[in-house]
Amino acid sequence: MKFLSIVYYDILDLLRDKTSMLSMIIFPIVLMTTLGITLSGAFSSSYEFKPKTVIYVNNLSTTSDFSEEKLILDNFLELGKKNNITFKEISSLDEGKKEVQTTNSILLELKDKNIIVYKNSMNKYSTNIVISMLTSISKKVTLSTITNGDIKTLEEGFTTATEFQQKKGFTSYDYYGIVEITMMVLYGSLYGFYSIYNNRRNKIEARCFQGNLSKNSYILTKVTSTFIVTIISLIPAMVYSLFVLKAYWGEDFLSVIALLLSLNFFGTTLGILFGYIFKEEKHGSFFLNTLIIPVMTFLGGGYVYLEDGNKLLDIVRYISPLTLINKSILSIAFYEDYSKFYISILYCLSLGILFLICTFCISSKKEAY
Amino acid sequence: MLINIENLTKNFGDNIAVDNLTLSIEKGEILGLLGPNGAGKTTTINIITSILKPTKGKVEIFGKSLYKYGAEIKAGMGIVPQCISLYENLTVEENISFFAKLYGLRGASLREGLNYALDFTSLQDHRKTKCKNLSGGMQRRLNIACAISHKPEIIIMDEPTVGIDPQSRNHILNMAKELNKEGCTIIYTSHYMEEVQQLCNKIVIMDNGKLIAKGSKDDLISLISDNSTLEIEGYDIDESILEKLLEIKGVKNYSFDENKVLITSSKDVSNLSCIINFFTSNNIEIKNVGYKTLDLEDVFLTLTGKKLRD
Repeated sequence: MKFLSIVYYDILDLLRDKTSMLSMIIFPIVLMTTLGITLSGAFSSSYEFKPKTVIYVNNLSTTSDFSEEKLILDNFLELGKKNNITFKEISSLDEGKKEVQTTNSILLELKDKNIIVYKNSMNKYSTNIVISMLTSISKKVTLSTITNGDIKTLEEGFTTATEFQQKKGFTSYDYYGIVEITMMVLYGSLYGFYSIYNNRRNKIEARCFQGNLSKNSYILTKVTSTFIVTIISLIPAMVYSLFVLKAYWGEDFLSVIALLLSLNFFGTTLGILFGYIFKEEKHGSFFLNTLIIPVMTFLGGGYVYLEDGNKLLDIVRYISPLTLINKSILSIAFYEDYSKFYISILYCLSLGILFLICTFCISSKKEAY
Repeated sequence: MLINIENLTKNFGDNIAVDNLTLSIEKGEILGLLGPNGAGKTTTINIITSILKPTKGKVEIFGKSLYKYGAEIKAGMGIVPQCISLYENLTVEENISFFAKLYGLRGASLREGLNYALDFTSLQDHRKTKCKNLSGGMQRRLNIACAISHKPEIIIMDEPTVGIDPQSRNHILNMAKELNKEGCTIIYTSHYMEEVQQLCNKIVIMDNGKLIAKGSKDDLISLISDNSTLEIEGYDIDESILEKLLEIKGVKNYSFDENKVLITSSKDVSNLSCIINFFTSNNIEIKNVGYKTLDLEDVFLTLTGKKLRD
């Protein structure tokens, strides 16, 4: 009961802080609207996912038993034609590779037990669509016999949708309607961060300990209240995204909510940890508010869309849970691709628990407040 | 004995904040902890309220060890911190309820505690006002209300009158007296000598973490009753020459503040003319001369060689 009472009054206090509340409401709405409008043209041209031209070379041995690969390709050609994709069969692999380099085409090489997809660095998303289509067809057409064969790619991290469905490409409104909300989930960490410092400065923290609340329970009350206040304060921006901008969040709301909550847990524990790491509020605020959250937001594509492709940058980007969460939500909404769903949640929760343990350790060593 | 402190020491690195402090507090007393900033008053309070652990020494409250029975002991204590320790966006009522619930009050006992605290601090009419909309004096009263809703046996008031007007200060001092009449034992820290002199029936003077003297006001003044304090006000006094005052026979100590010099001398030595001569020979024009009634300030000056608010 004591725990719940503290959480309740903490939430009341935070929700009545008009400045923080207004910034949590207005900031994402302004950002998603202005970026959505400003970058609407860029999105319609940059995020046309359908490949325009696919070339292929048939290197299957004539006596082989690998007719499955041919069957997959035939299905693929048929599906592609329905989607206005131009196909061209060529005679040699070298010729195809040159064309990939010069015209941004995608090249398929049919080999025994293999379909190899060649691409250059410019058409990453088109390649993913091709791979996704091949994968889905392979599972539909020859699920039992394709098991010895591979569909290889020159890169990693492609979507592994089990069924290819033609979905609408996302617009700038869809994109920013989603990523600005996830960015604000991270900014929710500031509630916890400032609450820790305020309560320490005005001795409410010490008074709680004097009232027989343990240090760990105190931390957990802060985590709980920050977690809940972040959710509440994001409702207006979420409503705006869904009903005014009409951003498409997909049909699986439960999965999206699970992703947002796990990110919220990560952000909340991060804010609380920073409240314990730094003695001076201004130092913690500098690192969290002006460095870590903006950098994570940038890497996660919160300001501009960043494509995968640069391996080093990708490693750095995927350190940010925001990148994973944004990718997961977009993949689920637009491709029904759940490949990053569990790893995203697991990553956020693991980091959150790690931060919480670190906070407990720091708190147990601190004596004076 | 309600509180018994023996050989209490607290170090922060090389800095000794409390140095081998021994004192006891009886039930129903108002104990004043008097000392300048950095004397160790708040550190002592923080140890008594178990926010800090002592480096060594023993603290017993209600006859029990604070470290073994901390939870039980803390439930019988109320704290009025030096700063405004409140949620500024919560109302008066919500703030009191928050702290009352921390001490386990629920239902009828919560309502009773809430009304008691509101009545006692005369905040009934402001129960729905947000803390940030209260005046400084009212916030101080609310600070007290939050410490008393669970009706503690011991109330610790750590400089509760800092930064408020004289009227609010008197109000708070009266509240402390009233609480004492209701049976509370009070520990009151301050660097305002007048407050401690007016309120407390037992006074502990601290400086640099050490207990300098303890007893009632009269006990402490009697420690220096063989002294007299001469107050000389002049124009453009050069502080650097005052050191030579100590060379005058009978002069024990002096302090200087805004062209006023307080000189503590032995009553047995007649040195007034020498002192006046010292000032005139140093070309200091004297504006006023007079003997001062002895108070705790003089006790502190005599015992430590410095003023309370240095």
